[in-house]
Amino acid sequence: MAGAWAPFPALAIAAMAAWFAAILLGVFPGAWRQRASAVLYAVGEAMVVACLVWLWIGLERPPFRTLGETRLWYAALLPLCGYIIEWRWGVRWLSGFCSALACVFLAVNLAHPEAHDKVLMPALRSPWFVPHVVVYLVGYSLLGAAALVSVRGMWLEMRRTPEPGGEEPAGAEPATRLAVLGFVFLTAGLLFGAVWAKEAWGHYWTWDPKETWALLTWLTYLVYIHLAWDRRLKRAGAFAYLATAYLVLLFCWFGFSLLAAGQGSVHSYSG
Amino acid sequence: MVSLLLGAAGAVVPAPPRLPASAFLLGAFFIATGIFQRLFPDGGFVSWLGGVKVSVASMAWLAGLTLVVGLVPQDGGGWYRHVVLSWPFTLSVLLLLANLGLAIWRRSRSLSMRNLGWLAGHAGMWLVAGAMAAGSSDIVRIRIVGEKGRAVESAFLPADDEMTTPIPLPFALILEEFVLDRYPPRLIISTHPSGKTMHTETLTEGMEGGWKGWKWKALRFIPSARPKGESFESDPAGKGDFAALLGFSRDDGAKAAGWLAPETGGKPRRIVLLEGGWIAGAEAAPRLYRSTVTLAMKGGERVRGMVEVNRPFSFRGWKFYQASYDTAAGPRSQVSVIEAVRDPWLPVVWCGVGLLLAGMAYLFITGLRPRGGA
Repeated sequence: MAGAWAPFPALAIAAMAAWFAAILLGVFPGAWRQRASAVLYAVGEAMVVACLVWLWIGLERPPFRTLGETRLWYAALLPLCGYIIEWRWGVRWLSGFCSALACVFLAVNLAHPEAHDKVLMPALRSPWFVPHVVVYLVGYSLLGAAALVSVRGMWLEMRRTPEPGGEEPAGAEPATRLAVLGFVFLTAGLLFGAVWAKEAWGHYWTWDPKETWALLTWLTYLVYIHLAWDRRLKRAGAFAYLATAYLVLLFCWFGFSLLAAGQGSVHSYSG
Repeated sequence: MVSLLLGAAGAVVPAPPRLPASAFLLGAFFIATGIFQRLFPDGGFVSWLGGVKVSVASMAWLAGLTLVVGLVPQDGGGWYRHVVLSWPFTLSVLLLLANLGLAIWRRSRSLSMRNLGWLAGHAGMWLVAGAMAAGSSDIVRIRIVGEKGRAVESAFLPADDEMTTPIPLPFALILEEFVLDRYPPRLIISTHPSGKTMHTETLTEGMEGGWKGWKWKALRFIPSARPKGESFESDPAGKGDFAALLGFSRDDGAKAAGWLAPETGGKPRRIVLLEGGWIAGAEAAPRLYRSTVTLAMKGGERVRGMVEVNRPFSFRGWKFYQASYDTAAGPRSQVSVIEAVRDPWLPVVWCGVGLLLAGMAYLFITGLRPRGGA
């Protein structure tokens, strides 16, 4: 890797090592181990953030244009969401899971170095570019965390042997809370995109393939929020719904361009 | 039909937008939902129609249709190939608006803080969906093919590719200048015939490098060039694209040389074919398209403005967007296609977007409070 990406391999490997050590230390009880684990999470996060800052300065443009760049943002934002949620609501295992998932994204970037350039086409040179993408990636991170909570919930549900009078496991509230927060950011991202499109081309909405899948993702979570508000979903149903909804989101992010209907999208990224 | 779209026949005056008839229809629809909600406040069909079950059903219906749009190319032939123009889609939007409208009226009976947050989000959604659906036929979108120095007094609908039906404009548009600014050109070494890029580097005069046994040197680099026979020379007007003369050599004595230039002037991109299946080419990605235009009104008033991608020029209810140019001529283009849009629903949609964001801010702060309390 060259240019603005030059420090990435070293920083990414160091961040992965820090997170791996943090997860290991976090597994064992003991106050000093927990403190050391928290410090190592922060060190890993700082390295990925440093990478983003370096990239932003080196490329002389916001690093949101390629899939590799968005993967790096995700690797920074997903653990951050995990730490905040763990601190705020005490979902203790989430930092470890989010950091492990972030390591996968870093590893994908290490395995697929891209051809990088400083080019930003005229349509992307807009003040809406940064808020649109950042808000979306925060939303994706929160909904990713919701999916992780749900998959863990499903796993625990399958292992559970109900006993008469036994203690009921925790409900789907933490996952729903994350889904609602993620949905708020998803909505803001969708609206910022529509406002931007109006400013750039005079259309709010053109049924571009990415827009179509983004609307489908948004509707999927909107239905969930209404079902959760109406208490229509049992614990297992809520977990299964959120895990499946995240697959729709992932398809919107990575998969839609594989379809015949996805060809020629203004949202197709390189890399 | 065209003059109907643009207002009174022959008088296509860009007056401030008036409230179109569809606004009254949409307003009447909303008031009707309010009357029904008032007449049948509890139980029965109206309560069911404004309830959460129908909300979920209408959203799922809309999601199903969106999935069809996402999976099947929308190129006409069968309803599933033009879903957004089909009856199922129209019905799903109508059901959503009826359901939302009834729920909004029901909730607005008590204006507590909690209900205000809920109302902001749902009223915003109603306004955005309603304005986009009802306003789609009120948006006027025309294309003006601006020619440098010439007063253009007619436009065409975007669908009129052959430009067979000119629409008279109430003003003349004069293209003063068109600027195509590009990023610094890059030398690209790629494989043949896949075109997979193996190496890129910014092109400068005298640059040297090597790749897979080949060495190259930029013998000449002209930032603004014009063709001269098989080679290039500097363009005194400074309006040309770049050109570079590259020399290649290999250790065993093999040599190649040639001019590299981007795809402009109707000629394909110039490339140099090397032995072993490698290609050397160059390209400069566009950074900015900008048209400087003057609008000359019939009464003698003249207004000058600049139109860029992401920076439309506003004038009396119209917005002018940079749409296209003569791509074959590149920076020498004497033509700039400007799209003029008049959207009387714009303030309504902005209002809806603002309310929806306020509703989201409320949801962010308070979280979801399920029916029947915590």
